[in-house]
Amino acid sequence: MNAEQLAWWLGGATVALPFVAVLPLLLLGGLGARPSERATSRTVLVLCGLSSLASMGLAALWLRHDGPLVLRYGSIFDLGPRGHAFATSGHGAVGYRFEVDLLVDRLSATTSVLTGVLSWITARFSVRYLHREPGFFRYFLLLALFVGGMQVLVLAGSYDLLFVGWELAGISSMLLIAFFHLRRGPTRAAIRAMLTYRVTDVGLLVAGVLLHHFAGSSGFFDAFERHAWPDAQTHLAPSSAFVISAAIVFAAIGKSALFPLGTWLPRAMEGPTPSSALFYGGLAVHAGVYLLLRSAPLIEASPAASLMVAVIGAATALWATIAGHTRSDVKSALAYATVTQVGIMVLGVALRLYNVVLVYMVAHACLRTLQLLRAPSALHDAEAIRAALEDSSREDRSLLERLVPRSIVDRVHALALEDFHIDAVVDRVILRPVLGLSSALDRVERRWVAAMTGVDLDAPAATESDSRAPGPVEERP
Amino acid sequence: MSTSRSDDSREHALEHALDHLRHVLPAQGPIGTFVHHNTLHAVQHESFHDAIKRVTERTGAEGYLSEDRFRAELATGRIADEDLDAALARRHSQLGARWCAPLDPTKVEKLSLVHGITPASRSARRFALDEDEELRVVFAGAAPRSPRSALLAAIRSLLGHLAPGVDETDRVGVDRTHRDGLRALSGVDPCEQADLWLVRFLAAFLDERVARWPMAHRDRGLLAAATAQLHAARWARGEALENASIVLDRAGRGGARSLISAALDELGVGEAHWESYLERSLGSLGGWAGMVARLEAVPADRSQAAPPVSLLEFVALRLVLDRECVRSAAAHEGHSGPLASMRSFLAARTEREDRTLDGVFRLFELFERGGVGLDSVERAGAEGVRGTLAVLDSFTSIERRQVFQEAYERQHMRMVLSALSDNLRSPADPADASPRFQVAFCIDDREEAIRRHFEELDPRYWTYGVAGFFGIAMDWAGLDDPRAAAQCPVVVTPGHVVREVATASHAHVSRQRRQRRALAARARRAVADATGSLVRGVALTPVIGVVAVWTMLTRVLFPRLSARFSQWLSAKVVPTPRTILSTSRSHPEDAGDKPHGFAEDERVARVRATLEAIGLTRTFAPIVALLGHGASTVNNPHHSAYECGACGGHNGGPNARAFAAMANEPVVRDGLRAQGIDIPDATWFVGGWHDTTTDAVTLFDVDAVPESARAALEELVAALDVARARSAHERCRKFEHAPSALTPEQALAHVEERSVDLSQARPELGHATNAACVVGRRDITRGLFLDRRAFLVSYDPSLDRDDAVLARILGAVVPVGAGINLEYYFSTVDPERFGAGTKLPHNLSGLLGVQEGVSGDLRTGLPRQMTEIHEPVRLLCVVEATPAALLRVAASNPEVSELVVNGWVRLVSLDPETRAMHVFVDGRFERHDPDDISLPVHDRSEQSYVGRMDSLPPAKIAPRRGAPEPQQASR
Repeated sequence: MNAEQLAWWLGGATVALPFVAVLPLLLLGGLGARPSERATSRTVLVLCGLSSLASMGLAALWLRHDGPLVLRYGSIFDLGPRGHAFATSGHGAVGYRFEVDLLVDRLSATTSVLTGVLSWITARFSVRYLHREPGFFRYFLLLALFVGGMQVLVLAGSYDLLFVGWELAGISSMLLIAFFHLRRGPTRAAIRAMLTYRVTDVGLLVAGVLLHHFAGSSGFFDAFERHAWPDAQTHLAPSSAFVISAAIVFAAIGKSALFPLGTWLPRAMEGPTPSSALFYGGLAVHAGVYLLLRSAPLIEASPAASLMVAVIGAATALWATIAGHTRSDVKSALAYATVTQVGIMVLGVALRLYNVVLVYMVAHACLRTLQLLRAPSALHDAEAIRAALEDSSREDRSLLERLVPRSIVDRVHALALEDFHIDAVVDRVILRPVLGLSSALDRVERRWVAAMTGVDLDAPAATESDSRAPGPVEERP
Repeated sequence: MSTSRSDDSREHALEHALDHLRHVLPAQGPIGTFVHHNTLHAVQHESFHDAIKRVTERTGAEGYLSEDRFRAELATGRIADEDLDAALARRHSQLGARWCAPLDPTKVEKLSLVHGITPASRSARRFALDEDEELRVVFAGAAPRSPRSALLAAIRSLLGHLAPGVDETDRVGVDRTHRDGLRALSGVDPCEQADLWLVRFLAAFLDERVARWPMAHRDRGLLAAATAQLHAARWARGEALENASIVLDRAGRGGARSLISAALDELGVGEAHWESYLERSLGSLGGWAGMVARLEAVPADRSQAAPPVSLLEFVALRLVLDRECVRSAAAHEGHSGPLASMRSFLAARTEREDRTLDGVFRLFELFERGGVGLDSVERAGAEGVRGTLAVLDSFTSIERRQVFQEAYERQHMRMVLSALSDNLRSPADPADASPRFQVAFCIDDREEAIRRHFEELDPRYWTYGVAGFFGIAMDWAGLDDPRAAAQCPVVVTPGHVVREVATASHAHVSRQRRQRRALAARARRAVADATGSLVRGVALTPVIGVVAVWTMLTRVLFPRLSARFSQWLSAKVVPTPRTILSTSRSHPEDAGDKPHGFAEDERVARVRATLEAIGLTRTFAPIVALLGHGASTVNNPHHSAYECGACGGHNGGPNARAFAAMANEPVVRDGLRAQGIDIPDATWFVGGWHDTTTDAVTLFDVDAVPESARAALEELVAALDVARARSAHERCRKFEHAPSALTPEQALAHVEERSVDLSQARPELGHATNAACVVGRRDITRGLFLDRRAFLVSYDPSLDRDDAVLARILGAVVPVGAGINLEYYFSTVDPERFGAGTKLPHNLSGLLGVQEGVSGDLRTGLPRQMTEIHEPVRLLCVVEATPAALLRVAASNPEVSELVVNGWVRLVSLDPETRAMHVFVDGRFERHDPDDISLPVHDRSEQSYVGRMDSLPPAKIAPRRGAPEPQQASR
């Protein structure tokens, strides 16, 4: 077997093995069976461990290989003939083929190994931490699903495939926020996260479609002129590049909790500690950064897009650091700290510091995962530090506090404690108009239908739906 | 005139209600100071069952296990039928004569217990009607076609129509809030926004400099801070909170009282119901409310600079928020007019349950289960049938569970008492008359195993049980503690300070230690701050990230190895000096409120008191060791709950060390000799501590042991090593993650790993399964395998002529034991309301406590990981003293008397002479004849537990000594 074939197998194993763990568990769960803790965790640990080893092997092969590896696994469906990407670029693309290609380059090899290692450590941690928990089985099932989704997301060779991983990671993330679904807080947080995901995921879908349209392919290798990341580039016009970039950035805003839709993340710390650590300290929160890194050529091609990314990154970092400084509970404080640094990474993407951001992302993911896993130690740590320093309070004021006048500081604090009411503003500026518009359209449609068919649809059903005025999302059960 | 009188009465009602709230809100302090106490301490003046009934009615919390659980225990035989009958008989003797037909009340209740003939839900009844053709026919009014439907028809016609029962909505404004009413109506909690806002606000307001950026102007008080916070950008808050902000702005300063009465007036709550209404209102964030009350009451828990906090202001805030939320939600539901009229609005909208149908079905089920035929029912007539339903109705779920609980406990009592009586008749392992070692442990149930394993080694090894502060109440400052903290039961306030100081020759080491610890702490704080900040975070993250990978890999994959490495490293970097304790008062005129160290007569008195308490006043062994205990856990906010309760949630080692230091002093020995306690010069006292998590034993000041006792010391250390390994082995049987076959050495390694494993939610099982307490001489229990379920307290009635020692012991042991036992009890029966739920989503908020996730209430009880294997029974105290002596002691100690008379602990007298047993029931002692059983006899403890994970009945351990020790033990 030559290196290419080996890589093909390893790539397949990295992506497929977590799903091999998911399938029997899902099947058993569907039949109502509950395998023992040992069987459940062994299955997930062994298969995700092997997947992780495969990803390391893949990374090793890539290191020895000259340039990126493109692994082709055929296509799932095929709508008509399609010429070569370059031949039909522009408006000539007539067919569509969903090709299952994996792309192994500096970006994906690194992130794939990170995904494998972090998730395996967390799974190992969870075996003891979740012992005797009624949701043990469900937790490991979702964890494996997440690992599989992340590996697809990371190794995907096209936006189409990346979208699949993106969705799987999103679903498992949402379900783990709602792990304790009998309490109100977790379900509320999960719904918030899900809404944010659902809305922003549209961006990724649109980006894929547009890229097909403009570049003839949503495959990274084809669309980005067959150059290795991060030197890849695109010949798209700045305007097309901007539109696609905007869609991609929109998707990243949701996934990585960027300004102004990032408030779901600090509230998502409702699940078991290790899942919070892996998702919102380690991997899921960095998926948006990964997407931006992956789409760097597109963003680069449009100065306006670069500017937009820079502004969003800076705004996120600023918002999160100020809001985070007002939090006294350890998990929120860590969540905001994470978002702060994610904002910095986004800024780094705009500044074209791709390699730096990649290294930074890996280090940051590891750091936050560890910090969140150790979150229950916060009291002990604080007491130990205070005892050693023989003081009970601290007198270090943050940079901001020292620079800005007191009265403004107080006012900013009051706003920061409630996230500057970003949610309320988003609700009023975006959500309510959109809901209002859709209900207006609904009314128009009903009237048309009534006029054309003579059946008044309004009579029984409309009272039900209209009596509930569109309100802020959170107030809905 | 009349106005001012009514103002006075309102003032009075408010004060009364606030006092009541202070009483009933969770009383646990900040989590770093966690000490076990009775969760329902506030209602301890009522009897156990009455208190539970009342609390359940008001708060909806559960006071017993579920009926399903009890029925499962009935099925497994853990609840014996005979005990159930006995408990029912007792209930009937208390209730007096009742009559119903065709079944007598006892039979009705027994059937209800066993089968749970409960009101069915509306949908369940509908389903039954739809499914069963026979029944539908009867309800359709047709003639019955079978004996079954004839029975049903007869019941239906005899019962007639029943008036609808009381609905929850009728209680709105009394002990249900408007919020409850609206939630019941619409299924949506109207005050959710208010709760979310309050949690966020309180976390910031009560924070003690954990947040990098503290809230401003907190010194003006809770209400002022809340007003300012709500005021900021209030346009963005939605109608209810915006209105609340306007109300608060108008009220201005100092308006808490008027805000409260205005709110309650508008809601239409009469003064008579303020207490119950407010209790219910504050229940929704009860943990936070309790913390507010506690911090106001005990300012010592906080730093000097902490902002003022007031329950009054919190109540005002809560009511204003709730009222505005309720107003908005009520308008949304279509309620117009004043909020005070909401009860009638709710009542009009609520569909009442039809009790008739329900009654017919339950009687039908009862008669079918009881084998009652149509004839008997018809003979009983309408009166009998209605009477039967009345009996069935009055035997509510709470009362059924009360009977179950009594039966559950009675079985446990019979088991323990017959075991004690068997061991008294034929002692399994009598002690030798000349002791080699005397080791005093804490009374803690977790020390039962190591004591037993130690004694199994040699009949000359004696052990004692004494409250783990060894009678030395002190404010203790260890070498590394900046401030002294009380090391004694929480009810005691120490009068002395004891410090650990470096010896003169090691003063420089101590200095170095302090400097290096401070350096390390500064570095840790700098790193923690940097990772949370913008600019420094950017600079440091890549570096720390690399370290994090390594740390995470080693700590998760090789917890024990990496912990050892870091311990080794920190021992290298931070040197440990030789130290002594300042137990003797050096400067009698020492400045400050509290003297440093004890005067000579105080030292003599303390040593004497403890020796007398455990009955060690003659026959001293060459070495007398005292072992306090503590725990070592990581990643565990509840650490304090694993430590020694008798030391106020701290490690008891320093007390043992101080005691030994005092008892070894020649002047103290001279003083004791003068008072009749002659400790031979060849006897040496050694202090130490036992780690209940790792089963490590550390002895202090061994360098000071005289040459003559060195050999004995070595033997003691070796013996303790064997005992602690076996103790670890016994503990491992309950850990599912422990390998299935272990040697004692492997067991030690396993428990050590648990103590340093970040992912371990159960470093040890704490006091889980605690159930009994035996106060008396060790011969009662020596050789008995009690499965780590008993507090063992040494007490020698023959040395105690005027019950003074007994009074002292019970005064400490009963409240401490009951506190631990009842905290476990309530956290077990209602993990969600009394306990802290599962540990997994816990999130430390400030230095205060854990909340669930980021939006939840503060949780003040025990997490489920600590209570899941606990059997909730009240502490069974068996005391070797006559009933008369016990009654005398109880009469002199109100707290003990309250706990015993009100049934919060179960008390049994074991006569020191006749060995007769008397159980305290309903205010008096009743003779109890233990079942005549012979316990199984084993050579070693291990044989009684090998291969078992559940709670085990007592057994006798009669070691066959002289036989070669088996090399390998396996589980």
